Amino acid sequence: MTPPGHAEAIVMTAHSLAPNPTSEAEMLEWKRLAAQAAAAGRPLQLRYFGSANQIAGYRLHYMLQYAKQAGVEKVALYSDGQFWIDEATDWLAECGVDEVVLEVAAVPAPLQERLANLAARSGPHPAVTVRPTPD
Amino acid sequence: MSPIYKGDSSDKRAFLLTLEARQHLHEFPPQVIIETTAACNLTCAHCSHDAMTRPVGHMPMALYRKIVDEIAECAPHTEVWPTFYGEAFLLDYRLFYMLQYAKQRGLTNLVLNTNGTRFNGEVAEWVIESGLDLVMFSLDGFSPAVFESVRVGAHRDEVFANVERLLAIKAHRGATTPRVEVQFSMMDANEHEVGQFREYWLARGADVKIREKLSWGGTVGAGNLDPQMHRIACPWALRTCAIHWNGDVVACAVDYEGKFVAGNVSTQSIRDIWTGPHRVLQRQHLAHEFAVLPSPCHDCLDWQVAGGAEHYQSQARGQ
Repeated sequence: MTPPGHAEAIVMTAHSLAPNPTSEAEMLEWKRLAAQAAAAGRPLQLRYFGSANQIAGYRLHYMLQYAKQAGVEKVALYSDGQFWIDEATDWLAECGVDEVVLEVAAVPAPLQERLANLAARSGPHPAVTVRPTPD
Repeated sequence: MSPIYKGDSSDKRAFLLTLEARQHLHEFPPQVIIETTAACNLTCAHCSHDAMTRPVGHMPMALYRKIVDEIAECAPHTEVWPTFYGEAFLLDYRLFYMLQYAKQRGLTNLVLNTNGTRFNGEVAEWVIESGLDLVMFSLDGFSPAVFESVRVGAHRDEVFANVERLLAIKAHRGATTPRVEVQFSMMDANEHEVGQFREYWLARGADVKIREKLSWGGTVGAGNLDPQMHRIACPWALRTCAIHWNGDVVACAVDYEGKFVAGNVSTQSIRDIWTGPHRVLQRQHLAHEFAVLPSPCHDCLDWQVAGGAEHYQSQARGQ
């Protein structure tokens, strides 16, 4: 249940992080939801669970940055952290995302190091929450 | 005189000598070519990419940032091409990030060429948002038959539609950048279509560039290049710092194999390489010491077309 005084988040799950026939429609949908969230003053959540490579994560960067520039007050990324290669630390710090929620069974050492690097680079923003994988 | 030479060899020699008279040493390269990726999705008839022996890879972002940071600090008006011997749009949003980073750091002359195959509406939107100054579509044909015989693997109607969509989106948004240019490399197979090509695109709002065919350092046939022509100091050797995805600074924009490596920007600065090991090559060109030039310069004929091209500016809406 949404706590009193808190608007319910708009949620989108990203299925494709590399160019394919569905990616254009997915991006259009994200932009539509960002406009909707900005107009309604509602948070926007992007959920992505999957692998990463040198190219794919930058699509996440664009989506998060776009939403912030569209005026969404609170943008959050929910993920299992698989996308988080070293390069992602920079764009996470730069894209304006407000919260990163990592749903993981355990935090492996490389991810722990990247969490520390992000905190050292950008301080408390974005806020990072690590919590157990939901059932 | 037109750089697309149609006269006799004495006229061409005069043109080249005029071109050479403008060449001199630069403390920082006026043009920097950065290979953001060496991957390509086509096998064009006039390109040796499918025979390239060095590894195909993407430039690490930290290296890209280092290069851009140095250019921003030393010479932000440098003409910077974040592409070399690959199709940069295969990088998808990684390329957007790279373009945005360069513009945010203050680079003022950011240029990309592309085969146009990946340029759907989504890409057109982010290219406009990125601040890219010029995008150049290499098309090289007008009819489907000729286009697809040169741009092997691409579909003429799809690519033409992609360019026209970009022009339409740009006009709809009232965007002033990127300037859109279509390029036609003249060769035996397509030269009869150059007039149709030019008129078609000028009417639709794209600028047109027509250039002679390259031999890519002698790796593909180019009958337009005359082995007996009076040689001049190569404008590319004197103006262009070409960087492979692994950081190697090579001879020039056609040294796709990296036959001459002057240094590596992972551990050195562009300026130090340009005014150090690469300067040796530049001085050899200026002194006409062609006999001692290293490969790939020694037997190269591409200096004959390195000096320019014909440019036509569209007056139609869309630019």
